[in-house]
Amino acid sequence: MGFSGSLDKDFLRRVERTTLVLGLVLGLCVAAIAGARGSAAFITGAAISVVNLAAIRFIVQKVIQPQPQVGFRLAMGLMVKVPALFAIVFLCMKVGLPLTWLAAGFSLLFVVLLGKVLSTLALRAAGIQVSEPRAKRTRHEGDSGTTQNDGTSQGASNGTSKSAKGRLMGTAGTVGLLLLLGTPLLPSLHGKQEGWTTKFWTEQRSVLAADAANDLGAGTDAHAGTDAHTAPSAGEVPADAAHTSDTAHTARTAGTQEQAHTAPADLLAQHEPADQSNDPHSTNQQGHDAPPQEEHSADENQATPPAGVHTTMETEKGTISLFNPDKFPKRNEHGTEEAHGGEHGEGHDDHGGVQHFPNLLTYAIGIMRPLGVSETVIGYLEKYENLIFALIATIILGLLTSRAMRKPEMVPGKLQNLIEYLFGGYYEFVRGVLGDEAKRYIPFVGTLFFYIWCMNWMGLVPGGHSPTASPYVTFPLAICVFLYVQYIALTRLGPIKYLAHLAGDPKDPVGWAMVPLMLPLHLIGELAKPLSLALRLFGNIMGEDTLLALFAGLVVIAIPHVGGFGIPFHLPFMFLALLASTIQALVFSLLATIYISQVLPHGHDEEHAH
Amino acid sequence: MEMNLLGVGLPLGLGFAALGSGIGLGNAVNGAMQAMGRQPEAHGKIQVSMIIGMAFIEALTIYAFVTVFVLQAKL
Repeated sequence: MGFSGSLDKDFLRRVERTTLVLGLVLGLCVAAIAGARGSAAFITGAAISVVNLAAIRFIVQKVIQPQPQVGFRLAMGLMVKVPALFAIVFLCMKVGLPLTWLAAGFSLLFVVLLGKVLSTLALRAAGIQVSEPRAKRTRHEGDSGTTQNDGTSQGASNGTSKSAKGRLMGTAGTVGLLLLLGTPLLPSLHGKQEGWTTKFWTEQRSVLAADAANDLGAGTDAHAGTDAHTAPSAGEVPADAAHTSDTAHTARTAGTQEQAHTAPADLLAQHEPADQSNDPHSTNQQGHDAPPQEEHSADENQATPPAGVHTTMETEKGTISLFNPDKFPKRNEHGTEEAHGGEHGEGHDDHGGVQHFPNLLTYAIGIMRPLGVSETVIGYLEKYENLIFALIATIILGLLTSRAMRKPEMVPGKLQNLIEYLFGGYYEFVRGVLGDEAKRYIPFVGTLFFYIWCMNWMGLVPGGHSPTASPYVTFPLAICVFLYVQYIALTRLGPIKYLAHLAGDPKDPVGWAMVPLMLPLHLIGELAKPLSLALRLFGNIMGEDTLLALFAGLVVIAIPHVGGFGIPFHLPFMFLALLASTIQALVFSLLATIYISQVLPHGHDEEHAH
Repeated sequence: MEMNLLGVGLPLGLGFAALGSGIGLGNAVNGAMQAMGRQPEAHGKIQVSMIIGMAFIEALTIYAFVTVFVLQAKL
């Protein structure tokens, strides 16, 4: 019967659901690229396409019912639907939503449709039947009154067990997709907004003089308050230029912060002449006279969007300066500022600030640069470093589990034994908290745990890097948890009950009197959850990695003093880090589990502390 | 040359946060250990609650730690 089997109502319904979820997630991501308007347009587009599909489905369903006047019904339906669709789109454009994003959102459904069809085909080719039996069954039940009660019913009989499996796979796939989407996209979005792009701490590795100069313009200059400078400093050089740092390795002037302090005069001289001539940012609003050290950003800019794009981000200055530790050049006696170019990566030279081990990407870039790979590519590599390592984590997990479970056997081999032990143990653990509901939510929290665990440990492998040491990874993860918990609360508890739960389940007058107090408290608590989740994980892993790097640096420093060989000072901390990484992953997923258990219908009698 | 008070304040603040957290952690683990000693069969449940509690307590120090890194830029 070819493909028609899965192109039924249930399939379309699943397409709609996926499109809605994807549309929301992607829409949020679009927000960072195209602003609130683009995001609204994208989500609206997705919603319109879903409504459109639902309408078509409804009409077709009505039409195929064995009743007279089919043509009339079809015409009526189309007459309602088509103008309504056009009216909505027209309205959206009238409101001022950008058409491009609207169209993008609208086409999302087709992408999803195509993806689902292809994946179903691929799976069928591989001999796996995902949820098709379920689809058949539901259709069989749903349309039992209609004419198309054909021979598909035998699928219903054995469909139950398979559908459960398919459903589990589907859930796991969706969750994985969400995590994957959530994790990497946020940083890339921030890419548009200057300093954030240049990742938090990792930019250490790739500091450039220009970056530092801009940062100093943005941050320190305003606050430093030191006066004796003859040369007006960079002032508020739009910090956006900071985001060019990704590509600006040409500007890698040597020198640690200490060196910068003593300010080699030639470096200064090198910096000074260039600024007035080709400073692309000098026209910016903040009105600084002579931003020094801008010659670097000039040549960086070939690889980055035009400066005009970034000039609107001035308000973020505070954030940037906040999130650019160590990039603040000190002033020297001559009243000029010197950026420390930063020899990051290779040696752990101590120039204050956060330190990191060099990782594979650092090495790869170190090799690529002399080979003449374009700065754009390198910039992307550095920008998406966390994404790349998160992807590696996903790949490791996927390969490991699929290898272990390809041919599950009663007497498991080594790998299968390990995986079964880990997963079984974790399942029991979650069951201790969620009880029988564990089966339903284990795909999410289990994925969280093993994903985070893997990412945490990646920082301990030579050449590795913990993506979780960056807030761009932990915050999306926490936001995923937040959204999922809200979704569970709204579906399992229902909006009314959830509201009551948030109001502290008032039952007596005293309880009702406490509502004005409890409701805001719970709301804030609800919002604080993802924040604390993300900050905890990020702070722990970042601190751990920094500690390790610091002590490893100590090893290098100590070499000449202990007779030419290294004493691994950081070894004890390595074990500590192994333990702490596991515990942090456990805590993250356990807290997610507990948040879930709190919003389950019966789960809010215990563990109310947060 | 101006003294930057942050240079003194940040480590001190982190130290105080760690002090408070340390006391809290000590209390938590103390209670959990006693409970486990009294009811070894409830070992698993107590441990889970203890870890959660410890995570919350520890989070406070982590906030201070993050703050330090954030403000380090102003040093």
